[in-house]
Amino acid sequence: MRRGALLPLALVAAAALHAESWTTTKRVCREARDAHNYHMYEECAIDIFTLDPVGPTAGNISTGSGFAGGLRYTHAFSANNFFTAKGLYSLNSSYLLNARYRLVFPPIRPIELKGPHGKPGPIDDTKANVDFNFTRFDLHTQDFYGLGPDSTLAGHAVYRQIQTQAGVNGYMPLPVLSSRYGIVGVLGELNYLQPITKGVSGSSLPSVDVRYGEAGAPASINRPDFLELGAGLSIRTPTTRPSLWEKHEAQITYQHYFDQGSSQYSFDRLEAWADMSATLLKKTGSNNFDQPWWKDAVCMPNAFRHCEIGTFTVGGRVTTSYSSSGSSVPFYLQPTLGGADFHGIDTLRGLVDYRLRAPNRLLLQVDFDKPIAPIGIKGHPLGQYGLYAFFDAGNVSFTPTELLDKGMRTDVGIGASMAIQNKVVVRAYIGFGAGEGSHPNVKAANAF
Amino acid sequence: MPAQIKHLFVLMLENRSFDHMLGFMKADDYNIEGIDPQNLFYNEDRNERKVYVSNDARPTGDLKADPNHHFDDVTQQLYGIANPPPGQKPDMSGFVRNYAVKAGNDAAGANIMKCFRPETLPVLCTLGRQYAVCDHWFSSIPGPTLPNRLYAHCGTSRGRLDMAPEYYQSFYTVYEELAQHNVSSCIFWTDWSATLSFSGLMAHQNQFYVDYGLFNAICAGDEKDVPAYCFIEPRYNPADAPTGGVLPATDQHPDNDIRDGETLIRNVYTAIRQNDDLWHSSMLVIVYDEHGGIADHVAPVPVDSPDGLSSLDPAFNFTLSGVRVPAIVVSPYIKPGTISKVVYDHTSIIATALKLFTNTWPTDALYTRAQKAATLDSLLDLTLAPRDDWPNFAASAHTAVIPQIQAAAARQAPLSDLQHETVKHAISLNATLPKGLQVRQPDGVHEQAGQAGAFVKAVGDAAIAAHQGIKQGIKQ
Repeated sequence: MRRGALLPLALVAAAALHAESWTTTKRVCREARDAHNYHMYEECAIDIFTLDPVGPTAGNISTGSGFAGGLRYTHAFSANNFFTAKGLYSLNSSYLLNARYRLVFPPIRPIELKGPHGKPGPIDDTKANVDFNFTRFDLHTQDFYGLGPDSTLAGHAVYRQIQTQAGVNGYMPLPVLSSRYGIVGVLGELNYLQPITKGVSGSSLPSVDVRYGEAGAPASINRPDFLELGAGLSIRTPTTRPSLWEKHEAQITYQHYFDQGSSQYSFDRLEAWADMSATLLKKTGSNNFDQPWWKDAVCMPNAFRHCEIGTFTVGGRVTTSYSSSGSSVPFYLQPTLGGADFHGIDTLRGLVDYRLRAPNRLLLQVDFDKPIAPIGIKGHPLGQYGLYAFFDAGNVSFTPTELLDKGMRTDVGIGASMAIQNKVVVRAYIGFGAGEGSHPNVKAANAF
Repeated sequence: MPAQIKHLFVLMLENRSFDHMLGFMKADDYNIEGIDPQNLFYNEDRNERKVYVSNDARPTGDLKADPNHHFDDVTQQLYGIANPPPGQKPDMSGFVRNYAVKAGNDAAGANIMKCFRPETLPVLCTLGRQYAVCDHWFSSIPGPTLPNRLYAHCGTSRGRLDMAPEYYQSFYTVYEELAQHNVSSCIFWTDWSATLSFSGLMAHQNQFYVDYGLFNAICAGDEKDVPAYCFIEPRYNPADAPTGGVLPATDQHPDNDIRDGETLIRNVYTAIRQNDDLWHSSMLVIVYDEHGGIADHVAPVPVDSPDGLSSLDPAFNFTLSGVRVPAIVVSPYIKPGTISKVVYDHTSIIATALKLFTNTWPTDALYTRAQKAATLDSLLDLTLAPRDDWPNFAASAHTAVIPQIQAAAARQAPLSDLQHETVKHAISLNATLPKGLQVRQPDGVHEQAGQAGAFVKAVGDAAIAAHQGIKQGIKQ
């Protein structure tokens, strides 16, 4: 384990031994061991993962970093004012340290939505927040295949990325612009970034700086620091949705990255994304509690005298970057297509992670999810199987105008999901059709 | 059977006692079993100083350390001691001492006696005043969340008092019993439900679980599509909204912000109320799962064991209820200002559901306690035309009673350090006065601020009189 991660993790581990709920957890786990009951083991695991104020946590640090485990700490000064910290260390020697102090505020005035026929409607309970963040991560091995739409698998190289970052970000809902069709809010952020990229010791693949240099991978040799300023606008369906079948969310953000040394790597970024899902419902007129499983698979009955055929989700994402002549966007800050991106968001699922990279990116996705049947262990139902199919189309380019000039890369795929209490918690899928074979993946939550 | 009621909604919130939430609604014209300003409820702290209930609870920040509410702690809260002898009656004397240990000091321990002013809870208190308050609704066992919630779903905790597992053991629930009668039911949930481990429900997730985000849309649709029995879970943990911002916990568990739960209560009521067909055929119960370690002055009551099962360690036979919790019943067939003195516990919920929607009531399908439980349909006056008035949550109807109770609370409040010093000075000064002017030291001058203030003022007046007498003597 790297020395940078050792001290904070050791401190958190020491604090964990004084966790308030440790005594109860020990008792539950001892009972589980004595009874050899797998449900009690599960309860023991739940108790361990919900230890308060210090307990374990797990997840991916970022795409390609490997599965990570660690500890988290929470101290609440009140419900609206609290501090959290966590440290994670992954199987491929990456780590993440993160601390956050969060202040939560009510909106300027309550977001009261209109009800039908002029009657009072619900109040959306979204609150404003200001977060003060400190993050340090060390991603031991990240993949790079060159820049632009014409890069190839043969150009595979690797780099190690270390970044220290501190800043503040916030969100404020805007009651005056919000309605039953969407909660509108503004976002802002100010961060200081100190990224470093290095070669990967012991790797059979060449390092990015050696293979590509500054010309093929900007900022792979130089090490600029950045002050980043951002602002944005977002809209999403209220927490109490007006529709049984439709749900949407969208966001547009503008960011400026100031290179704190020369202005060689300063640039602007405009990013927008939108997702809309529509659930196909059929009215049944009864509750169909005990129909055969194959009828469930065709149209899964629900509690409100409808059955669910499936859910279509359509999403789009565009990222454009702007830099003055003589300036360039650091390669590690350029958006990617292929597998999942740095933040774990699915992109072109028929390609490997990070396969395409450039300052500009366009991505369109369509998914169709269908609940199929319950699943269980030893007769105890735990979740619900689902099947899904997807289609992705996307492109990367060196200039924004080129995004639509060339034909887009496309793929298709199928996957399976597991839901617990009707919420999808795990997805496994295979994507193909993008001209580079097939790529299986299991989707887990990210630590960022 | 009241044919008008086709839908029973239950919103179960977390960990607040009756006095804490509704006690200060008591008024001359509103005789709930709340806080009596002439006889304020108190506990003694570890220094045997009296700590009285007060109406200055804050929406968040008073109960940073979660008050203890496991069986052993509740025993201490009820009896003032950890191991009461058999037959001892609860005197509700141990809340302050129990919380002082948890919170780490006596000052914080006193927070367990703090109650809300009605205007701090405009939604809950307005609905209570406009519809029905049940002031003898007790949690089902003197213990924590899970076993109490089990009584609301299954009518028993099968001899369990703790939060540990074994809930997977195929508990039979009201939802399955209703399904046997072809009656629809569901759990609206956001991030967690205590029913997560019930095999019979998990086997048919789509039929029994619905995202709470759809509650408003379902209520706004065809009344016939709304399930007959709907149990609503609050949001138990704050979450990041997908496009920014924070979605707060709405369960009102200490120390979550009480106002976020108020918004949830308002939204649930409004969603039902906005659809006339639904409203005219509905009953809404707003209740809390347990007292959460917070003080209440009414002792738990004897109840039936649901199934004869007992807990061995700690020893308990399930024939004593838990502590009183707030409970409000809303329906267009309930008169404003209704107060029910009937004893209810959480099995009254499932008893009411079975009585309303099945033709086999009374039944022991959900055990003995539910079979014998008082049902909530007795609160309805079905001769009434359905009420279509909208309560005004912005205007609290209870403000007038506050100054009177505040003044009484202040009079009976314990002395601060400064007040103790002032009394000492007054006693010293009193001793220097001429015998004819000395003030008699009343009982309780060291315990109650009202007595202390009156004594200090009387000594001051006497001292002034003596001084004036001396001055007059000098002049003469």
